Amino acid sequence: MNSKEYNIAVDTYSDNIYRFVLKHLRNEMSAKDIVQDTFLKVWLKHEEIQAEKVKSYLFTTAYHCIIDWINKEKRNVDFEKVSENLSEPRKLEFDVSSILDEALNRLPEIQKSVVLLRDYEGYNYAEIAEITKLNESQVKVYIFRARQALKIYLKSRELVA
Amino acid sequence: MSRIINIENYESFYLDFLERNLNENDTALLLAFLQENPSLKVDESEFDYFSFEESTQLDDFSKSVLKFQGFDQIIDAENIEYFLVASVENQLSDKKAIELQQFLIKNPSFLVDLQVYRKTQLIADSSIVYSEKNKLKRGIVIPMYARFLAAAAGIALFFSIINLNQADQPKSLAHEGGKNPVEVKSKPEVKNEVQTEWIATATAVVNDASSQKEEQRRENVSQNFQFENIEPLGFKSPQKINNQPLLNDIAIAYIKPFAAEKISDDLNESTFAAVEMKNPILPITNRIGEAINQQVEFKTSKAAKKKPGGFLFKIGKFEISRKVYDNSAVALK
Repeated sequence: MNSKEYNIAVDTYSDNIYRFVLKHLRNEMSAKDIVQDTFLKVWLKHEEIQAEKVKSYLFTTAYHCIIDWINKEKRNVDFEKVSENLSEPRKLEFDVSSILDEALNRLPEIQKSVVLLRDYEGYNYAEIAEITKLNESQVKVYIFRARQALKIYLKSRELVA
Repeated sequence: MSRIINIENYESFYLDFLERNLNENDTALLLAFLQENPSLKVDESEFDYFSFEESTQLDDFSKSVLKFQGFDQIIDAENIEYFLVASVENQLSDKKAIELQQFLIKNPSFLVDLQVYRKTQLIADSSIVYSEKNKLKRGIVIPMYARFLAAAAGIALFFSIINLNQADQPKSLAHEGGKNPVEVKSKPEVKNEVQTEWIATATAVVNDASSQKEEQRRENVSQNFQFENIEPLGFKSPQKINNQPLLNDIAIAYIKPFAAEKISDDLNESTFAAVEMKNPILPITNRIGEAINQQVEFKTSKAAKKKPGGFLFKIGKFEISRKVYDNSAVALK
């Protein structure tokens, strides 16, 4: 991949990577740092990377950056805030997407990753397995379990009849 | 289940363990396995959602996922969750999708679950964009060989300018000394019997400004030398050369003292024809051009006798050149 192709990749995928990271971290500053870190790592190896595989490479790198970030931060203040919110009396909320966001944030990171890769980017199980270094059946299980958890959360919020 | 726990299957044990659904023997096996592989241990706090009200349903679902034998089995109330998710995930064959539809008609209570599953599909918010793309972008990287080439071109330009200055020097000295302006002392290749008639000089044109100066100087030279006197010899005078369209940024070096006896052999149109220039490193310049996305040219012409050869070096709109007319010696009686 030459510099021109790299710059095209920046234009094409930086928004997707940013959304993917932001959904995990819920912290704009950290998300931007990880996006920058991701592209820097890819740039350092740009001569070894084929242009047509750069998307997968970017998501793989971003995913590992997220894991590293989480290992460092562990459960930070944002997660505590979510727990506090849950302890408050339930309010009637009709914004499904915000409730879904809440539910997503309660998923284990690996489940969140596979669902985001599946829904946001439309990756198939094999591609997700490659990015997350899991096997295909593990991806399948994680996705199915994540969907189940999301469904339970939505129902628990009485958003659906 | 009493099986051997390994890296391939530990997750199913782990999930059952986290769901408090693993028997004592398997729990002991799993804990031993995790002790040997501490990196595989997952923080239990990541499984918060098990505390949801309907968490008991998840156990059945997990089992159905883990024990699921494939899409061949008949859809029933026990495995319906798996087929609902598979439907949302577009994993069902047409046949199985029809079977699911028939099942849901018979069991409408599961339709709600299907609707909720559909709502679990995440949609990216396209309004969220990364605003600092330009910081991520990289400039054009000029390969090392291109840098060497540029350095070589710079050096060549430097020496060509020095050479040209030296070529100008005798004329100015002659003017300063009040001597005949056409007489030059430093002419080692000219024998004693050769009578020096007049000398034109070499010039280098690098840009438009110097081109104008050159034009002015050439006019002065032509006036001093009274070219009308040499017209009968049958070749083009410098004025006529000047009238010809000059190649861009071409340096001209021509006319040096020469034996009058040899003139007849050399005086013809080809004497002043531009030297054909060739690119000796065409693959390299092509590759540089592709890398930096600019037109890159490097051409040289053969040196004529004791005069240096010309060159042309061009990157995009930037161009440096020096060109020498072949057999650049003309002398007159």
